[in-house]
Amino acid sequence: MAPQLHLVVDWIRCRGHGICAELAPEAIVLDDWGFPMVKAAVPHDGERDAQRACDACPSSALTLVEVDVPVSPKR
Amino acid sequence: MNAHSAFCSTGVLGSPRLLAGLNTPADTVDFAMHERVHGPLARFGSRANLERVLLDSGLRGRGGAGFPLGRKIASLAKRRNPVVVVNASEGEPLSRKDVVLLGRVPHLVIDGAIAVADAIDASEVVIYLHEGRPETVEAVRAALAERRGDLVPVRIVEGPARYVAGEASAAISFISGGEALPTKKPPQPTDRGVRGRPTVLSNAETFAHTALIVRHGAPWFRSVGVESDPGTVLLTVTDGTTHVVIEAPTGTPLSEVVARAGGSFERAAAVLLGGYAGTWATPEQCASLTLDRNALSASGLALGVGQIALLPSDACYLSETARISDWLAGQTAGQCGPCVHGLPDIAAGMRDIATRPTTTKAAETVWRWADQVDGRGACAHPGGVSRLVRSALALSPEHLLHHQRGLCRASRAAFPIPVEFAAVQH
Repeated sequence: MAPQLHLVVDWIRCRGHGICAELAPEAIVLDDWGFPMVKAAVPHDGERDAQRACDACPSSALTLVEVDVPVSPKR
Repeated sequence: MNAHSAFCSTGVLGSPRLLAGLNTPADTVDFAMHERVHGPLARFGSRANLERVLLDSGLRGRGGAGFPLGRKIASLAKRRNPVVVVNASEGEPLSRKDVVLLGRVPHLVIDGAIAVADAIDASEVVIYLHEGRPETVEAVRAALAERRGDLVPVRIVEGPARYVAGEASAAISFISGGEALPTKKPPQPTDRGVRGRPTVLSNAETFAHTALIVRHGAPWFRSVGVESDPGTVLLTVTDGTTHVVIEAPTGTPLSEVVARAGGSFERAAAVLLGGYAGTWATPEQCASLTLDRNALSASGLALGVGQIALLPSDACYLSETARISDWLAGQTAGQCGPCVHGLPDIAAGMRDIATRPTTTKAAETVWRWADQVDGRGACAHPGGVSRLVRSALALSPEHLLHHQRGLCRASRAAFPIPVEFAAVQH
């Protein structure tokens, strides 16, 4: 198992402020109504921006979670 | 005839299991008849045995997702006073299986819930119904009054008549004293459900099968149907006006199910599989399908709570999709941005496509919106709208072009928009 960082949106809390997409543009873009669309996995060099986006969310709707992704067995 | 009347004709392919004892369309299997047909309720004996027998049976949840009930039991947190919830808040406007199960063979559902509750030492069974179907509530109340000495207390909770109120986390929230609105996951109900207690929630039909598995065993249950999803399944076959509930073994060709209900794919303009959050398919495509969850899923199809809706030949699936998506947009719980903002735009875009000449850009925009809202919310509601709309836009490029040129003349509204389902007030 390899740990990977994912951004998770709490949709009930999210109000579409859009600050996250400005702070972490490599991981988050906004949809046609201004709500965040997050990439599946946060790239390693984007971790600091992603964390800043989470910290800056006025609704506390964005969190960075570590998930274990099964590694495909080597042949 | 009241569209939601308990009167709904039924039919069986093979030997009846759930529908055993029903002979005329008006039959209700009362408690005495129920015990004559099925024998007295047996017990699983222990939680370990419940888990083992259900895993051996291969019974998968009949609420749409198809999660094995045995695995749900295995994941149930081992804390005191768990709760069993029968989700019978049938909100699918085209489905009648809960009306038939609870209105006509209610003791099978109650037995199954009690058998599970007894084995896990639950403190109560909650039967979650909704206010939009008062005859069903009345039938369950009458059935409970007939029973004596049940091992676990059973009570009815009536949720609001709203589409998303039947979603599992919304049901648990309402039963716990909150609003009937979806909550974020995790936690799963098996960990923290009704009032924070470990909860086994499943569809009414799942419990009805469990009532027969505890009596006859796992090998009996597996003796019909496909290996990956054994047993029989209830299906509602409808043209939007008449509804027939059919019990058939999994693996049965869809065309046989439809024929048993008195319909045929050949006469349909299009087929909506899986209800209003489902997928449009062509009659030709349906002719080769069988009741096999895995095979259907591989074709991008699903039957949801078992719905096969035949669109009459004088109706248009794009117009139906516009009306249905407008209704679904109004059924949002109003909590999540992409659903609140996206669904009305999608519905308005579909209305344009269905009713006036448009350019290909209109269809592309609706498709992009459908992609954007998919999977982005506390519940699966926006994803259901996405599925419906994308399948409609993809069904026939020729017919879409016909609409873009303003040439479709079909104006008849075939599928019902339930009036008793109020939109959420904000």
